[in-house]
Amino acid sequence: MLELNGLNKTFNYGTPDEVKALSEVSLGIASGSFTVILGTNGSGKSTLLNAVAGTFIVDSGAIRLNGRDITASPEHVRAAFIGRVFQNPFSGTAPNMTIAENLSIASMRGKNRRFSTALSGAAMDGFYSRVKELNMGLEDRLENNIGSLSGGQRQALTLLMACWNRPELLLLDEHTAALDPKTGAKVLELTKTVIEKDKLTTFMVTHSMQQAVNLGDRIVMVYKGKIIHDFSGADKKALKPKDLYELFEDIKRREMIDPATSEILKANYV
Amino acid sequence: MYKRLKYSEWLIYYPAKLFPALALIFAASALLLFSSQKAAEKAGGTAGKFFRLAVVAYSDTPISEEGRRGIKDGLMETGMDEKRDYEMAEYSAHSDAAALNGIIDAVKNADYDLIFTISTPALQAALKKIQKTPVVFSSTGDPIGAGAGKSFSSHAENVTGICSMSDFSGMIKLVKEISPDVKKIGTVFCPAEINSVLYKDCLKKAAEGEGISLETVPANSAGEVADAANSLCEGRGVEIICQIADNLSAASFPAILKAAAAERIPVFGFIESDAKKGAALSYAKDYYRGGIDSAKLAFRILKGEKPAGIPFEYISKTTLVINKKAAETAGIKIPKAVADRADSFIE
Amino acid sequence: MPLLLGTFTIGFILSILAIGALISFRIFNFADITSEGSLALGASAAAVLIAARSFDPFTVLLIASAAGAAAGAVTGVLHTKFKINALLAGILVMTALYSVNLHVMGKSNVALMNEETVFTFFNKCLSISETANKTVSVFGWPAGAKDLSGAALSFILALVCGTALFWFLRTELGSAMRATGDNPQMASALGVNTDLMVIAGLALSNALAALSGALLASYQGFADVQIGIGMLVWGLASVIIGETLVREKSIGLAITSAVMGSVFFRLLVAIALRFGMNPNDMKLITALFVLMALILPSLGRGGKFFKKKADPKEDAAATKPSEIV
Ligand SMILES: Nc1ncnc2c1ncn2[C@@H]1O[C@H](COP(=O)(O)OP(=O)(O)OP(=O)(O)O)[C@@H](O)[C@H]1O
Ligand SMILES: [Mg+2]
Repeated sequence: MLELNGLNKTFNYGTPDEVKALSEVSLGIASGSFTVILGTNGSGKSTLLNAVAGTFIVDSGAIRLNGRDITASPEHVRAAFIGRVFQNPFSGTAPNMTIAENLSIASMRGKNRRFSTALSGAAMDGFYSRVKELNMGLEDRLENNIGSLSGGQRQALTLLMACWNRPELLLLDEHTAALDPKTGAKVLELTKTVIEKDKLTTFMVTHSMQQAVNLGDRIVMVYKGKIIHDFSGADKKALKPKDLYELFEDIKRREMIDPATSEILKANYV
Repeated sequence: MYKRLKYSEWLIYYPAKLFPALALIFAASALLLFSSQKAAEKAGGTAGKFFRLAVVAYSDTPISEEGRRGIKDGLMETGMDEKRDYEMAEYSAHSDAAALNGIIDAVKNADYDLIFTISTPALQAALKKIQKTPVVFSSTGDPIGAGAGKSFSSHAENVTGICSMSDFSGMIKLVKEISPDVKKIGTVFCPAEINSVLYKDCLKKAAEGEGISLETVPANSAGEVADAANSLCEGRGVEIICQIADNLSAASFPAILKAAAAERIPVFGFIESDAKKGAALSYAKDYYRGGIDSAKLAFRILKGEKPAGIPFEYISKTTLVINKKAAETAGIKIPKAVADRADSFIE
Repeated sequence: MPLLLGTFTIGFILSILAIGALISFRIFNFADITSEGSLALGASAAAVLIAARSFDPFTVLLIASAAGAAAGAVTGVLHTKFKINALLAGILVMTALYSVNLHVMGKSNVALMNEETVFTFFNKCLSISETANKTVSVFGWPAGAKDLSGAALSFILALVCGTALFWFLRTELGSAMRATGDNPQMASALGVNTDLMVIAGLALSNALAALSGALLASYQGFADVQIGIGMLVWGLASVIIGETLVREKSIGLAITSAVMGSVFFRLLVAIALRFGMNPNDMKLITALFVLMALILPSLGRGGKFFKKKADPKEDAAATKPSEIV
């Protein structure tokens, strides 16, 4: 159970670049549920995920994960419970280290790292069998640097790494957006399999209406740092991509009108 | 099951990768070995009336250049002629400790007849490594502290040299003669230079013996000397600056003169050229003299004396140079008794 | 022969500094100039402790390294906790260490003439007399027994440090440290305390620098407060020359190549000195060596001598599906 309570975050406070990226965001997410977050560019989706992951500490509000208050914990402490996949395929892996070394770091998430060999024979066998499940032929390249892999391969590995030790919460930030459609679809398929297998609580940002409709059991729509729509249960099931398009059109229209109306008001009253 | 490289495969893989590097190191070693062997043979062949000398300096400062100049002039005074009687190789470590060790190794290997060291670290590096070739040091304030021996007469067998201690009590006497009421003198010193700290302490002792207190301000780099000098001259009641001789202040002496001039404080220097640069007077047993004296010791050794039998010496001669104009500008009168003793004047 | 052995000894002693520099320069991607101060700190601490004669020479090395580690940790804290630019943090600590070193020694230079150092201790173990200049024959070349044992000891110590670092970098903690330098975002997301890793890494790097300084002081018989000046450049030069020689970046080879680079570099300098280079040109020539090491590989890159590295930009430019808003 993830509970967000009145989260606020303002970037560059007190400067001309001030952005209110999150304002009074409250959300409760049941364990085992799959929530998709939608919103236009700059609406605050990534910021929301980063707030949960601990990339920054929120200005106010509270974040609780399965009863623990993690509002003020640093990122690496929360990482014990949270797995993440980033939009950029290069963010989630260490390029100058081998596949095996990357996996070994992931396999220690939430555990005490010690002075014992990272790549013991047993560990290598473990990496081999789980990488083999990806069906990408990477199991024979465990000692190659990750930097030599394609974006899709790296993203698949990042996903594997994020879920290596079952996380209490999985955060996916447009993790297929930078891949070509075919690879993207493959990684998405993989995502579904992993989530279903481990019954992971998932929080996924996407720009794809189709993905939003196909995946998950809840859709949260964000606009200017606020939650403006929240569909779950039967409402969510009933949604079609077309409905979502319309909601977006609506937002766009509002954005168009807002400045215009204010101009009219100004002309009349100032 | 993951198949790792077998150990036997590593045994091929690693050496293959390292081979070019190993080959290069081997080649360089061989070059060094053979060339140094040749040098040693050559040295053996020419040893006779013609001498091969080396000068090793630790840093490049006015003081080590003065020392080198002194050695050359000193050798000339003994009647030796460069080219006819000796050749002299000059080395400087540019203040780099690793290079200093390399130079000492190279010098040792080349079998020179005699090695001059300039400054304390150069002497110390030579002490550790050179046991046979005679070493003559100069520009070293405290050879005993540097580890060259137990006393001036009982010391390392192949080492002797000139202790470059200034004449502090002589300077204090001068100060008393010139202005009898002086209560406070001052100097800038460099905590990083072993000689500088030593000289500061000696000057303090000499001054306090005459009821004068010594005000000191530390400076660690050339950039800090001007600030240190300003701080020394302003509001501390320093009446005369007796600037001790160290690398840092020698290199930045004009900055000290400038600060003193602004407050009309006379400057007395311990390096002969100080007076020429604008100090009111210089009373010098300086590094140039030290170089000359060490060249004379070297001459005795080359003529067959054993260094073990030559005690360390202080610099032989003290030179008093008076800069009349600078003294006048600073508002001091040089008594006739002092002026009569001067070796030279700068008008 | 003494020239060659002396060159190897200094090469191995400074290779410990070089593998320390490898940590800051190749793992965390910045040149940590704290090492110059740490090297002098190690030398000062060792000289004072040796002169005090209250510890055995190996304990002295450990204490000196610990002092260096503390200095590195300070740089790490300044950089991670106070967000001071890494280069600047290094400069600050190096500057401060200058005064610290003067305090440690109480003066600017401490001489160690007849004290027991690791080198004399090793000679004692091999029953080599300090005073008699015994020579032994190495492949027909006469070599001073003391010179030989000095080179052997420094080789053993470099080997021990290199092996220890190799082992450490392959442990769970060590790979977390490497990941921190390689991709801090990833490391953090996988639960690595990146700040701690940077602090620990710099501490380790500076402990090695200090050890190198302590050995240098023991070997040359004195410590001077200026002993560290310019050393980082030589350490980095060794790393770069080593990489050029070996051209492979796996951990074991990187460490080995740094050691080889250090030895090779000292050999080049010794050869230059041997052939009567004008002393004023020394720094210029050493700079040219490093420059050569830097540009030689890029001259060869036109051909197929080097494996092509993956170009991140190519993959990142993949197109988005059309259904995306
Ligand atoms: N670290 C930061 N510093 C300053 N402003 C930031 C920072 N991170 C985000 N912002 C601002 O906060 C707002 C929300 O950004 P966010 O990245 O969350 O949008 P998004 O919904 O993820 O958009 P996109 O679909 O383009 O990824 C934007 O206006 C952005 O400029
Ligand atoms: Mg985003």
